[in-house]
Parts: sequence; structure tokens; C-alpha cells
Amino acid sequence: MPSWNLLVTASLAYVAFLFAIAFWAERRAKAGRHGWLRSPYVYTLSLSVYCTAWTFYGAVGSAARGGLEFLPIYLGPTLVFVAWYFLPRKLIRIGQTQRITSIADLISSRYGKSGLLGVAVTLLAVIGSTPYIALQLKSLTLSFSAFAAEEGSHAPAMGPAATALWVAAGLAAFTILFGTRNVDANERHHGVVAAIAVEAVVKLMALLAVGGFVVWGLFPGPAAVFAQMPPHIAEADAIFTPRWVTLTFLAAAAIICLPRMFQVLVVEATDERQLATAAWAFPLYLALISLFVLPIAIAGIATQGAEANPDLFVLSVPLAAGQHGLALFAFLGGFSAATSMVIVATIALSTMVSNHVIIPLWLHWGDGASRHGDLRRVLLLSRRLSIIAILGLGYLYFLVSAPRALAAIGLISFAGMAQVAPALIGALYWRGATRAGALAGLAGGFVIWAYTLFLPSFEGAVVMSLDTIEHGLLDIAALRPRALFGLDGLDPLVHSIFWSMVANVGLFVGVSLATTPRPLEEFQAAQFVDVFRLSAASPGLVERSAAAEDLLALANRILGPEPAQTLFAREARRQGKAAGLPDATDGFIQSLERELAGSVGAASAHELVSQLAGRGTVSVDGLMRIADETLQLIDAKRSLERQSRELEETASQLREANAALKRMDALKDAFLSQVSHELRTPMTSIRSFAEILGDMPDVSTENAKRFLGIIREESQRLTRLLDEILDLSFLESGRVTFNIDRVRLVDVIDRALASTEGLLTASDIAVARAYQGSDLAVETDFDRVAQVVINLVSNAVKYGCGEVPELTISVGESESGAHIDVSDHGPGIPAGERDEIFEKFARLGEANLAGSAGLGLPISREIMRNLGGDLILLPGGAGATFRVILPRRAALSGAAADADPDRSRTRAAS
Amino acid sequence: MSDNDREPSSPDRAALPLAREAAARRRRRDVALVLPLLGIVLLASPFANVVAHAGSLAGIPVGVLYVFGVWLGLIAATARLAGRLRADDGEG
Repeated sequence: MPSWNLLVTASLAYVAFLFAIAFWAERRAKAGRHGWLRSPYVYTLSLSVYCTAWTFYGAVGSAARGGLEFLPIYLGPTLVFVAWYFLPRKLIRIGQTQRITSIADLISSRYGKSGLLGVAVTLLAVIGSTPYIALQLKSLTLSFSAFAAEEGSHAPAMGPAATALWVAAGLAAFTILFGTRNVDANERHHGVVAAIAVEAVVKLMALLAVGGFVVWGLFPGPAAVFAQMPPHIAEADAIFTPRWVTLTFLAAAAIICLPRMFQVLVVEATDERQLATAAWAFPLYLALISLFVLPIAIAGIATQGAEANPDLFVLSVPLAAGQHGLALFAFLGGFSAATSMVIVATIALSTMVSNHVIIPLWLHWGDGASRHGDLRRVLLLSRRLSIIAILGLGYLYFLVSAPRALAAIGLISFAGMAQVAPALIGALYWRGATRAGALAGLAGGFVIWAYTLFLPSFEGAVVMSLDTIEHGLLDIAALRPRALFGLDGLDPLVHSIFWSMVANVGLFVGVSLATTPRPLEEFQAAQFVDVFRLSAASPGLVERSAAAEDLLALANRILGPEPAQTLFAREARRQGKAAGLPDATDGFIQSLERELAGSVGAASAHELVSQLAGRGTVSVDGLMRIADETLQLIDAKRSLERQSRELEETASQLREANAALKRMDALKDAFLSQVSHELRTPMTSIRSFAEILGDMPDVSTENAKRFLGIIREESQRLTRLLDEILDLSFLESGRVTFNIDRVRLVDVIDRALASTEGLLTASDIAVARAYQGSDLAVETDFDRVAQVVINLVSNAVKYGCGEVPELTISVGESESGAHIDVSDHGPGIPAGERDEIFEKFARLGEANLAGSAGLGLPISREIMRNLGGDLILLPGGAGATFRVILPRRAALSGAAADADPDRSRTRAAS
Repeated sequence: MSDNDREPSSPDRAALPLAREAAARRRRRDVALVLPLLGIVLLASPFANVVAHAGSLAGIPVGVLYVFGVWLGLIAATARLAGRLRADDGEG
């Protein structure tokens, strides 16, 4: 049986050991030898402040009452850490870029460096954490009394109140000594972190040792332990219940919202790589620490009966088995769990209270406004006083609180801090979240939490009377704290979380949507939400000016002379100055403000700098440029995509143009070879007949006459061909002069038919004149249009007369002018060749058109285009129908050429 | 490493090792998002009730084995993924 004195001696020795560790770590860090202090495993162990005395003693108690129900408290954080890449990593990145000092600072900074929000979160944190600190004191006194009860006659020298007072005083001393050594800009406490890492190992080992003893010492193995499982655990209806989900949610929220968790997770983090290890190592720690909870609970019930306090099974089971050494170890484990939580929680809370409550008040009313004196002394003093005040509050709560189970008190605290979760998640992922929304959500959630959970927990002792708890405020049944609006039959915790979260999220989202953020809020929102996308420095947003001397004085007061000197000298070098103070540029003022925020919080730093530099205006340009950097990135990506699409289009256009050029080139070659061929045939015949006449004197006169006739004919054909080529070239270059007159279409057709009468008669083709009595007239060149019609008629005779030897000529009128249609009943023109027939020598290899070289249609089209009209092939119908389009007034060459880019391209190419 | 070292089964990808690396990164990031969601389904949904009355295995209730088994599985998967994600971030 360890005597009371031994217990006290062991505790004091252990405390002395922790002091030594902390002191040694502080020394190492100061000397710059961080070494294992920055190891990811030390970081992981420091996260174990999550596992408090509540875990150590209370989890077994919870398991003894409700079986697996203790597990969600560990599963929630596990899920958050499994999602480390998306949530905790973002928190740490923001914490480092914005020099965040606490959860209150984060919320305040995100929502436009709002002082009011900082105060609100601080208040909530203090109210929510006080029960938790009281819980640790309570578990410590309980554990002392467990030994005392065993001791029997040697009653302890102190009652629980006195024990708690001494413990609180000791904790205050440790925290002040190692938690407020300096106002280190990074707010990192190496001594404290080292001490809690050691404590983390002790509490895990202690619980594993007790668990191992129970399973393999007291019982022959796990199966034997579970065989003793009491019916209320073994026959639990279901694992999954609303309470299970609520607890998982609460624990998940707690791991990021609880001030102490935020302190170790975000503020004390030195880099993100530590998190990659903690992401699996911390859940593993949690799994190990909860591994033996159920066996210990079962063993406790089996060996001690139902009356024993299950919250003390960790101690009482080994004590009852006579394992005093093990019991002492377990006691130290519980002691570690309780003290590490109180120390970190107090540091976190004192930072929040001093940065968000005391400093702003001091700036407002005290001599803070006078711009003199070392602010660091005020800061340290305010933190030390806060530590004492917070522990005092915890002690007070310990004295007045109802004797409830440990787990219940812990959950009240979790539920309180969970009210910060919506604003925190909104801060990280929703740019539209506003300060007003966050305030409304926090206030609504807080009021409902206090009304339905916190105040009723005193069971009538504080503010809320038993009568109110039972019958509702003013006896209104709808306002019963445990059945709000008649929602009855729920577990009180589930009930409170449901209503407070409905109010919190509803108000947060609703008010955010209804309000417009101020420019600073919008800027901070972008800095938070897009922290992974923005470049580190985004200077020049707020246009302010201040004397560099004043800024240096301010930095001296907060950072201390030496760091301030370094900071200013670095900036001066960056600005390219060899000596002297740097210019107070907007960018420098902003980065200085951020540096100061690392000591006094964003809101206070903003306030202090603004006193010197003025509020400044957020330039709209800057906002557009920086706050929407993300949008710009998206824009840049889009424009890249657009450019590549345009490039593709251009490339395909170029390919098409290239193909057209190649085609034209081929046509030109074909044209030249055709021209040579066409010129060669008559030339050959002329030359051969001339040679015959010259070489053979005995040619008869008759033959000579015939030969001369052929020579004359061939010469005429040659001339005609050259005329046509010349004509086409003139037409294409627009150098033809026209003889414009008022012309009746009927006259033109009559002339054309008269000219082709011989041809028509020879082919025995009838002409259907579908224009009888028409006296349509346009202004155009009579001879040229007649030439076109003659060409069409001869074409029709040559190619277009199949079984029905008839062609139809009609005239018509449209708004812009008139037209003449020439239709035949031939095979028609295949769709693929509709354009080609207008190309020069298109009908290569076939018979020539009326003695010409296949230039008839191209020439006709050129003529009509030069006259402002056109020659087209009408689609559809049997046979081919050519339409000669005539404008009312001939728009002559130049104008016609310009109005038709298609044609000028053709001309340029030919 | 030259492109010839890639397996010939996917010639278009083998030609673009960077694109393949980017796709693998994206997949790792997706898995990192799926993992916690899977955890929620397995540990905080009626899914867990399926095993609540499944009796016991080697004297230990199956419900207990299930929760701890899923738990350790999540830890192992996170550990496997975390190293690679960290390497991704380290490079980029």
C-alpha cells in the first residue's frame, strides 16, 4: 500500500522531472539546437494533450456504463487526421502565413481582423474550457482520494478542495514559468512541448501496463475478459445510434476547435511535414490508448461490483489486486494526462485573453495609446494574470459543480467549443462567409448551448433554477431546456447539439448571404480560402503611410529592440539601401503588421499599426488584383485553352488555303499545257500544208485551193483562241470597257437564237420560248450578254440534249433585277462538278465548246460579274439550268470587283 | 529515363511521362479525399450495426474487432498515402 506521503513524494519528484525536461528543452531551443524537438514524433506526442484525465479515467467509466460508446471520442479525431491533406494541412498553412496565435485569432483575422469576433470566441473558449479544467482538477483529487480510501485509518491530511487548490497553484507556476517566458513571435513553447511529449509517453505506457496486467495477469487472456462482459454491454442494441454520430461529430470538431488542440496542432507546428507523420501516428496513438479501455472496464465491474466508481477502475483494479507499483504508475499516468491538458489549455486561453481582451482594452483606455513603454511587459503580465485567473475559474467551477460523471463534463465543454466549428469551416472554404454571419452563428449557437446544456448541468445551483430546468423558462413548455420546442425523448447531448447547430449554421449561412463583406474581409477571405494558390506576398493592398521611425518604435515595443532591428535592416537591404531605415511602403507596413500579429494577434496588430499609419483605404485595384488572383489563374487557363483552340482553327484555315493554292496551281499548269496544245494543233496543220505547197510544185490548183482554205480556217481558229484568252485575261483584270445601254431581254435572246440557228437546225433541236410578250429591260451591254446566251445555248446543244431534243429559255424578274434561264434535258451536272465547270478548261479531254478551248463558261461568268450580275448553275431539276443574273443597272467593273472578294482572290491567283 | 522504357501497352501515355505523373498525383489526392469519407461510412453510419450482433470471434465480440480493424486499416492506408503526398508537395 503506497502511503500518502509516498504518493505526494512521487508526484513532486515527477513534477521536478518535468520541470527539468522543460528547462533543458528551452535551453536547447535557445541555443538553436532543435534536433528532436522538431521531430514529427514529438509533434505527434504533443497532440496527445487531446487525451486528458477524461480519457485516462473517464473512458473506462464511460465503457463500464455504455460499452463501445467511449470510442467515438477517438474516432472523430481519427477521421479528421485521415483527412489531414484537406483540413489540418490548410489550417497549418494559414497559421504560418498569417502568423495565427490562437483559434480566436484565426476567426478574428479571417473575418476582417474583427476585434469583436476575437472577444466572442475568447469568451466562448473560456466558458467552454473552464468545466474541462475543473474536470482535470476533479480527476486528480479523485485519484488522490482513491489511494486515501484504500489507506483507511491514515486519512489524508487534506480534503479534496485543498488538494485541488495545491494542484492548481502548482500548474499555474509551471505554466507561467514555461508558457510565458517570452512573447516569441512564433508563439512556440519548446519547454512545454517537450514536457507534454514526455507525459504523453508516460500516460500511454501506464494505460497499456494496466491493460496488459488486467488481460494477461488478472485473466488468462482477452477471451476470458470478454466472457465476463456484463449484460448491459454485451446486449447493446446497436453500435450506431444518434448519440454515436453526435459524439463522433463533437470529437471531430473538438480536435480542431478546442483552444489547446489548436495550440498544439497549428500554433506549435513548425512545418507541414510533421503533419504527414502525425496523420497516421496520432490515430495510432489514440487506437493504442483505447485498446484496453473495454477490458479494464469489464474487469472492474467483474471484480469490484456495480457500486464501485467506474471512473477510478484504472487505479482501483490494480490496487485491489495488490499491485501497488502498477497503481502508482497508473496514478502518474493520470497525473500526466490531467496536468498536460491544463498547462496547454491555460497557455492557449491566456494568449487569447491577453491578445483579444486585455490588450485592446489597454490600447483603448490605458497608456497603450500614448505610444510609449515596452508593450512586451504588458503582454507578459497580462498573460500571467490570465493564467492565474483561468485556473482560478476552473477551481471555482470545481467547487460549485454538481458531482457528475467525468465524461458528461467533458462533453459539455466539447459541445461549447463545437460552436466555433461552422465559422471555422466557413473561414477555410467559403469566401462568401462574412463577419456578421460568423458573429450571428456563434451567438445563436452559444445561447442555445448555454440554455440547453451548460446551465442545466449545474442542476439548479447557478443562474438556472431546477424549476426552469423541469418546466421551461416562465413555465413555457416549449422552452424546456431538455425538450426545446417539444422535441422530447432525445438524449440531452444530442438534443442540445441538434438545436445549437441548427441555429448556428442557419444564422451563419443566412446572415452571410444577406450581408456584404467589407473590403478587408474580402481580402482576408481570399488569403485564407486560396492559401495554397496565392503567392506568399501580396503587398500594396491597403494604401497607408507612416513615418519609418514611428514604425520602428512600435516594433521595438512589441518585438523587442533586437528582432525589430533585424527586421528593419532586412527590409532596408531588400529595398536596396545600404544604411538607414527602410521606406514605409504599403507592402512593408503590411508585412510588419503580420509580424506583430504573431505576438499580439491580428486584430490588435491591425489596431496598433492603424494608429500610426491610419486606417488606409483598400484600393479597388489592389483588391481586384490580389483577392481575385484565383479568378485570374482560372482566366489565364481559359485563355490558354482558347488560344490553342484558335491556333488549331488558324492551322486548319491555312491547310485549306494551301490546298486551294495547290489546286489553282494545278489548274494553271493544266491551262498552260492546254493552251500550248490548242495552239499547236492549228499551227501544225498550217505548217504542214504550207510545206506541201512549198515543196511540191506539182500540186493541182484545186488541191492548192483546198489547202489554202484549211490554212485560213486554222489561222482563224488560232486567232479566235488567242482572242478568247486575251478576252478572259482582260475580263479577269477588269480592264474591259462595256457599251451600256437600255436592253430588252427578249431582243438579246432573239439575237442569240439567230446566231445559233444553224447549229440548232443542224442538231434538230427545238427551242421552247417561255418569255412570250415579256418586255423586261435592264441597262447592260447588249453584245456581251448576247455572247453569254449564245455560249449557253451552244453548250446546251453540245452536252445537254439527251432523249428530248429541246431546250427551254425563260426570263424572270426579281427585286434586284432580271434573269434569263437556259435549261436543257440532258444528264445534268454531277454535284461534285458544279463549281469546276466554271474553271478554265474544265472539260479537258472532251470536245471543245463551239470551237473554243473550254473557256466559254469562265468567260461568260467573268462577263456577267463585270456587269454586276452573275452566272450560276441552278441546283436540282432534270438536266442543267444556267441562270444569267442581270442587275437593273449595270454596276461596272471596279465596283463589282471590289464587292466580290471571292472574285478578286481568283483574279489575284490567275 | 527514356520513353522506350515504358511499357508499350499505352503508347500515347508512354510518350508523356509528365502527364502520367500528374494523373497519378491527382489520383492520390482523390484517394486522400475518399479515405475519410470511407471512414465515415464504415464507422459513423448504420453500416456498423450490421456487425453489432454478429456474435464473437475467438471470445472477442465481432463489433469490437470490426471497429478496431477498420480503425487500423484507415491508419495503415493514411500512412501509405501520407508519404507519397508529402513527396508530391515537396517536389511541387
